[in-house]
Amino acid sequence: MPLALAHPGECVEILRIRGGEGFRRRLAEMGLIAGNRVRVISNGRPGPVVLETKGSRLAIGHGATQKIQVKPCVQAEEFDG
Amino acid sequence: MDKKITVALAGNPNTGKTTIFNALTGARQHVGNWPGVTVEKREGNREHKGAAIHVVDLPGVYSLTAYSLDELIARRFILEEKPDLVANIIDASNLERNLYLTTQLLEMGIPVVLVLNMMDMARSRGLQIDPEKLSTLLGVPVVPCIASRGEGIDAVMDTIVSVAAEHKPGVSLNYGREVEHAISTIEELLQNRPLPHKATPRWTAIKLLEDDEDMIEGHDEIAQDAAISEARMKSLAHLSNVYGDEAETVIADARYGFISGLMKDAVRKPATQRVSMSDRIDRVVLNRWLGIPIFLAVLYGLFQLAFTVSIPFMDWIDAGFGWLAERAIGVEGWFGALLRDGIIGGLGSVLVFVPVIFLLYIALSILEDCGYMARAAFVMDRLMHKIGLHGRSFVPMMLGFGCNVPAIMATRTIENPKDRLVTILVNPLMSCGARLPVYALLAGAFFTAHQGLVVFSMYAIGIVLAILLAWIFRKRLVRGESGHFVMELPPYRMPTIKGVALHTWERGRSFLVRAGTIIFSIVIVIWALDYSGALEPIGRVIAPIFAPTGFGQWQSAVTLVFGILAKEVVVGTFGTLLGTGEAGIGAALGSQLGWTPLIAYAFMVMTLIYVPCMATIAVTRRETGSWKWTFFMIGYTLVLGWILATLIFQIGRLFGG
Ligand SMILES: Nc1nc2c(ncn2[C@@H]2O[C@H](COP(=O)(O)OP(=O)(O)O)[C@@H](O)[C@H]2O)c(=O)[nH]1
Repeated sequence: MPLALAHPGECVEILRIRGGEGFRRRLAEMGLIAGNRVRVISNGRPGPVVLETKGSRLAIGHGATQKIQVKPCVQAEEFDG
Repeated sequence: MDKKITVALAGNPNTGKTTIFNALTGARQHVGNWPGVTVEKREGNREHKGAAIHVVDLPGVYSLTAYSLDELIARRFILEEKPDLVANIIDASNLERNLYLTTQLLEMGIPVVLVLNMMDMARSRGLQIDPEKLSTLLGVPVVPCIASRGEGIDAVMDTIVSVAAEHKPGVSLNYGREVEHAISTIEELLQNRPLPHKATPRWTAIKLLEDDEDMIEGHDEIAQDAAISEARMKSLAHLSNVYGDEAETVIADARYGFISGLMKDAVRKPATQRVSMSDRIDRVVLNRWLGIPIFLAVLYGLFQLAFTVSIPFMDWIDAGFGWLAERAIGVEGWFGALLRDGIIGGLGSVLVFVPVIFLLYIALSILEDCGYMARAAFVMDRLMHKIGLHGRSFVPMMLGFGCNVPAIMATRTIENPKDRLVTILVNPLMSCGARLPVYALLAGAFFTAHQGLVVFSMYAIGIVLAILLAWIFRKRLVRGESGHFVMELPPYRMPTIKGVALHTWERGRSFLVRAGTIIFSIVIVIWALDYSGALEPIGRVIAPIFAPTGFGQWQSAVTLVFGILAKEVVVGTFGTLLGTGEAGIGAALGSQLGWTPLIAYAFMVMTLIYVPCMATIAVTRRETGSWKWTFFMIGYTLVLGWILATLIFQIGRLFGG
């Protein structure tokens, strides 16, 4: 599902990121890579999503939340952080 | 057996789909593979009320995009095999997310039965769902059930049989006027031709607008068709122009909007659970509706605070220079004039504003250190999106309130070159600390009752113009897709005195150094030129240009010219030219130059907008690497400032200002 559908408090695993080279590289620098797990802090749908990854908080803009495909983590509380 | 019905089970993973499949089919199951892939396909049969029901279990999916194999399998089966209906299994305790798939099923124009499973879970979470309401809004039957206890399975089968007989699809989602127009344009071109996967023209059109991979890359006969491809490109460009977002996002938003409407009408939720302090602050501060008003209130409070607190300090400095001026009365000759008009009048009137500038810097530093600045960027992301930029451009704009030079250097964090250029071009409109003395002086002299409001209005005009021009520039001059916004939100922290002091000093030091060196030298030069009588002729040549603005006196013209060197100089130059200290400038402007509050306001607007200072021009040249854009910036600010000052003066005069 797109990241836009994730709930606040939920752990999600990143499946795939669509978009240009530069965009994907930027996300990768911030720890958003396929296979990584992150915790969703808030979701302003339609609007930005705030996530927690590796101990820091990221705000993901409106358009980008549609480009990041995620799935809920199997074990709810576990995330890479 | 007179009737044969094929029903596909679709739903998110973990919604109880398998449980329902088993309950529906019992032992009569067949497990195989989907054609060509190793994904398991399960089918089963059942008789109910004289109908033979064939049940196909689709892979569990969250949506029907082209980005995962499971989703492709599910959507191809629905399109190509055309089952009589889809039973959409929904986890009632997680309704909002599950309904996203529902909206996509409805888009396919196939009859749907909504199976609200896990009603027990929904109830224990305190959710009150109104199935009838949901059914009316979606235009499809809704059957609540608890599959793990076998409750409601009979009702599901009854409904499957009756829906198969009626064969009526649910409501068709409306994506808003612009998108609907784009859809129908493309739909028209798709009529009467074979479409991939036997899809409907409307569905195909939506997928084309969504840049669906399968549709664009997998089906050349459609995507490469000249007329279709042209209509598609045109629509995509138009939509991204109108919405400032890709069509894909706009369409997804329409689905989310539809779902939140459903949730509002058909579901009652209990009050939300406990959250951490930081999250709680973020919920309020980042709230869609409250975010921007809160930001404006914070900004306004900040300026008010900086002004009120700084008044006694300014009075002390003023008194100090007053004391100096008294000593200087006795000094004879040119040195006395230099002391009185140059140093006390010129430099003194700039230094008086040190407290207000430092307080503003303290406030900006607190905002940055406590973590709010990044939130403000987040809040502005939606608005910035509308103008074709995004939240990332916002921090450099905020920093512009301090000084445009570091602000323009801060645009380096914007990776998209076009976003960056536009952010640089509009940055001088963010009113820097050096312009504050001009506002403070004129507002104090001409608008005693509404000082704070008048000064705040300068900042507001600057922000509005910056947003407006960014939007125009993005549209007309530097087109191209804007980057996506991703940024780090620092945790909330109590700002430390040391941290704030350090940041304030970093910003404030350059003001003091400038005041001591550049501004001091300029003021001396101006004084010398004035003393030798060289300024007046220069001023008189330029002054007529400013006649329509109300400040067409040679002194004002000279002031504006030297203000380009550094904006603080504007106040100092008036001090020197009018032969008075800061406290006397206001009165002298009125008596010697005939200024009215209206002229003062027009002049403030001019000071806000016209040609950025030398340092800003230099950094713009360095950061853009282009003289063309640097001159463009100088040119547009000059013209815009003149036009606005003229409009304010001329229109104000009509109303007797
Ligand atoms: N509480 C509750 N649990 C259910 C219900 N329906 C299914 N489950 C349970 O939910 C879990 C997932 O069900 P399953 O059928 O495997 O879901 P699938 O992934 O959608 O096929 C199983 O443990 C089921 O027993 C229900 O109505 N209420």
